[in-house]
Amino acid sequence: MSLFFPQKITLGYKALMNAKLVKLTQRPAFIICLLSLILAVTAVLPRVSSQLSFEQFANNNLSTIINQSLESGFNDTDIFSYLTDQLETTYQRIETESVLPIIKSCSMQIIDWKVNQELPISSISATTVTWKEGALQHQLLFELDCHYNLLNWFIFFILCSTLSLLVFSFWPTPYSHRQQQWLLQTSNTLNRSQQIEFNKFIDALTSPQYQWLETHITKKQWQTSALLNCIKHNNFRLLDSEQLFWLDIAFSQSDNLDDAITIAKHDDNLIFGLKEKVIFVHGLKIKLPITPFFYYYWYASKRLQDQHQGWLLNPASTKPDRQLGEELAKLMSEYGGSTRAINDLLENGLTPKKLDQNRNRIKDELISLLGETHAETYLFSSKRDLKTTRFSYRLTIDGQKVSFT
Amino acid sequence: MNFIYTPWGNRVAGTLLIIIFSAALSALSWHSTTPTLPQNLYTYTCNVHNAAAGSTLKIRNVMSNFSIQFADQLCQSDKIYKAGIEKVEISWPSSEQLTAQLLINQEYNFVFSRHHYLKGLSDEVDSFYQPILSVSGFRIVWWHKGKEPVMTQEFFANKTVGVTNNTNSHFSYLTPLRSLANANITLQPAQLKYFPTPGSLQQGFLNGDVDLIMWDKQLLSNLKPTPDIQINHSKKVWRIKGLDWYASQKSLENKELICEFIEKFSVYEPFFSTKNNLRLQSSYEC
Repeated sequence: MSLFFPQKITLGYKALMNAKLVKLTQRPAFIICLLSLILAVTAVLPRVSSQLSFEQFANNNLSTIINQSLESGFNDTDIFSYLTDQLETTYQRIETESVLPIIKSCSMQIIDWKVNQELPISSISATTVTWKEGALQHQLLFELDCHYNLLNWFIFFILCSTLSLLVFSFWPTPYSHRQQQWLLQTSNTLNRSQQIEFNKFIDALTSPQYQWLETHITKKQWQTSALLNCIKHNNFRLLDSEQLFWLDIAFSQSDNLDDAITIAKHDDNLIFGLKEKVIFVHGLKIKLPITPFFYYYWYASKRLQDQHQGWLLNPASTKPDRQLGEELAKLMSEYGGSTRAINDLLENGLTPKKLDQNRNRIKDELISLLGETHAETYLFSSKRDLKTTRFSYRLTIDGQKVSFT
Repeated sequence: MNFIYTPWGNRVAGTLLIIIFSAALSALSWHSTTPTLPQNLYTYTCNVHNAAAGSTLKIRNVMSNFSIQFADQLCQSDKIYKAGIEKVEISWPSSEQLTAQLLINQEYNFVFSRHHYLKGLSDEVDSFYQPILSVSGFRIVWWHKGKEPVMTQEFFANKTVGVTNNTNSHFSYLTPLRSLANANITLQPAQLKYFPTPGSLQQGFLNGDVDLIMWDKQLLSNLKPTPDIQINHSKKVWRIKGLDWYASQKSLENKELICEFIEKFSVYEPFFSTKNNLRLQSSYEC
């Protein structure tokens, strides 16, 4: 037992990480933006901050020391090349400090030095230090040439990117409109953890499926765990509103979710299982009483054979059909029908009453199970024969949808 | 915690997280520099040509003009090399930085100064330093931004006069004040304007910040381009007290060195004489 525990943890952890990372990789724009941000900050900020720092130092300190040198000059224009050299030599290697050293050092490159003259327009990376020597305005233009420690930067970039992506992968996604709706609606019926469980799947549902879920939660027709398993089921997503109806019917009968879904997805056909005397309506197994079953089968076979397009004319009430009666009795005896019914048919033949009675019994059974609307497809259509004023009946369902096993 | 799950709350919290993250990242990436100031910017050092090891020749000048070229000349000199000198260091610090201690220690091989000034620092200075080359002071006049200036109280009454902060300077402080005192001209304190450097004094005058300064006759022609301004100078001319090059007792032991120094400095004579009517006169036998 203890051997499996760490295994479970690692598997669980892997599953979690995969889920989180998948979520993140679905947002490539975000990843690119984040990495660009990290790149921009770590590449640009060291340079900019070094420059600002040195600029502040230069502004505060250089003027005094330069002016001191100028106290002893009389229109000495040579002094500026000397001062430029001295400054560049002194600041050949300006050490930088940082929590993460991306830049090692910088060096000062003097571009121009104007006294009481306009400086030419310079690049953004150049700094201007200005000060006054009495009435003279000095403008010293220089650039910092910084040396990057590429290895440091690269390591830092990788570490930072990995860490931040990891952190952001745990960022919760906001609820969708439907999820918010769900939370409101089920605030009384579900507890928090159940709500969260459902929330993961409800966005994948189609509108009819969601409505189906809503109804079931409110009416508490199914157990919450069953509902959850249902919407998690791979095949549930494929069910349309019609099939959802069948799902309900099937589940109320069997309580087995897989079977219920299979039935829901089933073709809307009618299958007769002669051995067990059961019918499969849209895949749903229904056991009819024996005699109605045979009558149903009888009509079905007529429909399948397509004699007179499946129409079976009621025999005259005064004159029962002996031949049909014998056929039906033979069928019944072959497959274990009721002895009484068989004898009745053999003695009295097929009467309209028998047909009507059994049809009604089938109708009652199916309607009680499927409701009038859905039972209709599998019940009978009638037409009146003008010649004899008797009724003809046939299965409404298309002959191709009928089969026998 | 439900706040995070609402679309609006999610965005707000997400944005906040990104801002915090960016701030943290910026803080980690922030670099600062710790630059040091150079000790001074009035010293120039050159290495003597071909010299491997040796002493440093220290020269103290009063001005930056030609100092660097002069030092370079000495550095190229064979005789300097033969004198066992490895480096030539010339400086032009402000005059108040010269102390008695420096003189007594003979810190400098050569000092450009006036006797009364050195004597004022150290009474014993003659035993440490001796003059080798005298340079006559150049001539200056009063300049006025307007009509020709005259040395009368009336003329100076409502005008401003410019001088530099360097109160030891004959050229830009002592001589102007002395000339006024000699002419019995008294100025109100507000009339005297101080400037940090000679350059700013000149510019201040050209700008019109002061009405009168003393300067050499080539005030405008020294500037390139020559400004187009109407100024006039006094007829009277004042000559600034001359300076001498003093050599330390230690240096005087090396005749070759002294003579080479004089010769190399004398190179500038034609330049000084044509511009300012200066004369060099050596009191040392070479």
